[in-house]
Amino acid sequence: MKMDDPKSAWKQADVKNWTKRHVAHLYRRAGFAATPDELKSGQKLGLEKCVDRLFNVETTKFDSMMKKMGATLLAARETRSLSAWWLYRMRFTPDQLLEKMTLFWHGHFATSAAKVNSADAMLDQNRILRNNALGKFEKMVSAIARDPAMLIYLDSQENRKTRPNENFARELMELFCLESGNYTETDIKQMARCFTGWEIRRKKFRFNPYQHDNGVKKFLSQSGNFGGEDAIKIVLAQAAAPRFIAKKLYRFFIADEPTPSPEMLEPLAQEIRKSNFDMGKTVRKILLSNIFYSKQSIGKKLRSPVEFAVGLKRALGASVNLNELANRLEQLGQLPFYPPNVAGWEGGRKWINSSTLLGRANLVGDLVRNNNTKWADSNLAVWLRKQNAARPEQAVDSLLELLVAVPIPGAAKSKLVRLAEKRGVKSHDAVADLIHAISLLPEFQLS
Amino acid sequence: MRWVPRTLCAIVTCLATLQAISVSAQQTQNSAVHLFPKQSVAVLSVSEPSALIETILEHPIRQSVEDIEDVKKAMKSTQFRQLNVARRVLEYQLEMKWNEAVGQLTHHGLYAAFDPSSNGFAVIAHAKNKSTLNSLVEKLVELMNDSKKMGIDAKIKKSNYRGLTTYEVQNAAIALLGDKLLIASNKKIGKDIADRFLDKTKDSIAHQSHFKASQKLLRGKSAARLFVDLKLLKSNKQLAKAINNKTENIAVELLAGGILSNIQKADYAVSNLYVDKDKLRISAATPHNAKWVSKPREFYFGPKGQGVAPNLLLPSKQMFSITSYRDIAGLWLAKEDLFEEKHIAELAQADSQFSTLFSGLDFGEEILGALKPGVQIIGSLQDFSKLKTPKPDIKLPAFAAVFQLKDPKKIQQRFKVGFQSVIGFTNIALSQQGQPQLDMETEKSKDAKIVTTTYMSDDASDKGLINYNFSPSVAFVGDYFIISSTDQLARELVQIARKGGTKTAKNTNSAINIDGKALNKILADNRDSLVAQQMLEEGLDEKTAAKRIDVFLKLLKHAKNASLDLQNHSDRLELNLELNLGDAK
Repeated sequence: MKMDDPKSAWKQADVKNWTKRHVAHLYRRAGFAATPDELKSGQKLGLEKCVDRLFNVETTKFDSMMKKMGATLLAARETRSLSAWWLYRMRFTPDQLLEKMTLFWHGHFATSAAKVNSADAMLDQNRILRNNALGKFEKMVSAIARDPAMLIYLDSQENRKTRPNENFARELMELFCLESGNYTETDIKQMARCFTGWEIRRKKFRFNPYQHDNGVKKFLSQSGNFGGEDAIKIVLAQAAAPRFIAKKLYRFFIADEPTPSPEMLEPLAQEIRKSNFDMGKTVRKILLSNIFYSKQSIGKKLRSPVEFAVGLKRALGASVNLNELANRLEQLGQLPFYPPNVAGWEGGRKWINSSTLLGRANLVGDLVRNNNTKWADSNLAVWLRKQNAARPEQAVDSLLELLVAVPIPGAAKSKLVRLAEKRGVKSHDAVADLIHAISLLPEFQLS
Repeated sequence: MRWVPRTLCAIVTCLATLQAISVSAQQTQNSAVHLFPKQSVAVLSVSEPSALIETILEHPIRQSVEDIEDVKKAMKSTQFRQLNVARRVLEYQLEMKWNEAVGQLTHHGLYAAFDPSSNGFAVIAHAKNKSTLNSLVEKLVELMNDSKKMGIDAKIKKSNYRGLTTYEVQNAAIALLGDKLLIASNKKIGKDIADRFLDKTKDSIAHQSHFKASQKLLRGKSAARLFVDLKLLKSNKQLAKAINNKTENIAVELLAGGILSNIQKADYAVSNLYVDKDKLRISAATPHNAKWVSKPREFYFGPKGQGVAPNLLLPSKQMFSITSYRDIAGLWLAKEDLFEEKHIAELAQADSQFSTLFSGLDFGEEILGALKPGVQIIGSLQDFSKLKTPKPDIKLPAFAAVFQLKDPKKIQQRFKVGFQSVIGFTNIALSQQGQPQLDMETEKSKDAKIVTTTYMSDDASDKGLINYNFSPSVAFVGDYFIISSTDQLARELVQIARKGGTKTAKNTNSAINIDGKALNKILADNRDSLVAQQMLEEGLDEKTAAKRIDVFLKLLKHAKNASLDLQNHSDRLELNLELNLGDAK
């Protein structure tokens, strides 16, 4: 079904034949990857209940454990280990959607530990992103406007009325809420005055009334003695704001390219406005929509390095040294907590080049063949048997269903089956080689 | 804490499995050693191998070792299962348990030697008697022939050498020498030993004067003994170069400079393994002469080689202690003779920086020169309930370095000001990082002065910081100068220093002690951090990571304490490593 009509594109999907491949697609986009058990149970649940399951997860025990682990890192001030900490969270969290959205907002409100150089500030920001990931956008923007990590990253620790710092005001409109073309340089200068007196002292936010400009500010067709909170409300009241967020969510959940038309985004933007920027409701609409399960979406994204690595680990039930994995991800171009600049990771086709493609293949090879990798089911052969995939063709089908987003050409599949027949699927090494061979398929890079 | 529990496990396991063998030492007279070539570079004698094996298998620590996940995994592996099948087949053929067979085969000991001239090694098992040996060998050969029938080509060929029954397996040679079984890695060394057995010539390693002298170097009954011909070893140019080269690392020079100096001159070394029920001790010795020590390395042994480690100031919750005779000023001033060129430049730079810190005084001559030879480093558990600051999440022990001053009145103030400068610089760095700063106070009593610092914290976000393990302090009492990571330890050491400390044993150049109980305590206190580290490093879930750490902690509880000391006698240099096993809870 081609989704040219915006209204029908965003309507709730009516998937007649809800298969494991649909569940796998949902989990690849709304999480990092489904496990074989999640595929089975997700198919039984059907579309709506499967999406509901992503929104209703009990995480109290997991959160408490992660908090304890985070405290250990903070005690040692290990900024670099934060990446491993987050990768652990992505791999093991029961709340896949929340973690995926936290990663989305990390790319949106990009802040790098390389500059902030404070483990506690970075972890606090990560907490803000997670706490608001599926909540009200305005609340998150307000929290980010006071976030020490962000303000340190934007060199905005000081903002005095005599010399307003324009950095935050500029990024608020350009990168966080509106996109360029929807404001002027004068708007930036005027809005910067709203945030005067917003300071960071000893890595804590404080409002300094003596440094706040109490004069009248004129921007985005509004005029008044506005403060920072008012400025955020004014920005989010712009018509461009929900469209901008809709566009970013479209690119994250639906497809890297082509860029959707304004008409296509309008129903989603209206939903955002109607729900008062409720991100939970918006994401739920996306995950239930026709377009999400259409050919315009399935296999139309390139997996980011984090999605690629964490997804594979999760799908196969693998555990590895996460500090080492973080180093590998850095080489592949995406180290959590270390985005390249304030615009975040560009993503899409930029993820892939000859070097990173080889790096991805090596990563899979090392992961499945490394003696130090721990497997949930003692080894890959045992794991595969549990999927009732004892015969070579069954094994190939099962692995493709779990790991690859789109059907592969018949010739490629025949080659895989021949490999499985030749090596068998009863030893860990043979299954590892089969998975490595699958990872070399171009389709493996797609989500 | 990036140390790997698995490595420690392995060390403890290896050491522990060797312990508790109450067996008598080998007798070298008329033993198999008399058959080894005179140019043997290394000779190992184990008096009762079966007792060693039995101790390993029966020791209570075995269960803890078997609980280690990697060991469990290995025991479930195909190779281990195959080994077990092979063992059962062997026992069936021999009609006895394998360890009983080993006992009979090595009743009078197991000996091994490496001969560089033939590039071969030989192992001699001295059996209970000739008939037992013949019977065992016959059964083993039969078993190997049966294996051949089953398609396993063992390629064993029976032959005869000057009337001796011999077997050839690939390049190796096996021969029956009366009640001894010889296994040689090649025919050359095999023939050499067989000829010596038949001709009864007195040209073996055991007849050489340096070997005889080595037997007198370490006395007492031992479970195993290793002789190494250093002179022969040093004929290898690369090895000789490595020993004679200047040191690349100041820590290596401080720890082993004197030993290297001695090895340059000594012709041989000998090592004994002593074991009894709860203890493992390894002693190694070389001949020694104070005149062998070069002038630059006088810092290690002292003038005429008579330097003795200072008395120990042992705190009540000691975790480890190091005491050593080292003239650090001597080392610093002789740096050009001791270290490679590239390191001298680094040391010169450090010299200049330290001089700045101490108001322009020459670091080598005036600062280090103000210290008497001898240094102590002490680690102690902290009482975190007494901290004025918040408690750290990761709990570290307190550390201290203790020196004695030649002229306390003259230099005390300089050291105090130097410490103040360090704290000043530290506060600037802490301030730049937004971390709590150090507040300094001075306490004076009639005979002591203590300068303490405490982290100032008024911020809830600083809670749990690792910094709170530290309250850097210095103390002066009598001629003692104490640099401590905490004020608690500094105060305690002042009290102990007033009484003079614990006297070190005569001839002790250096001594290291580690208390197993304290080590266990600090690791148990940091269990959560260790578990978190395991989770990140291995990607494990919390339950599995916790189980791993608990197995490691359980294993470590068998280590009561460990010590290492270097004894400097007039005729020998002796290094002793001792591990006491028991419940370190």
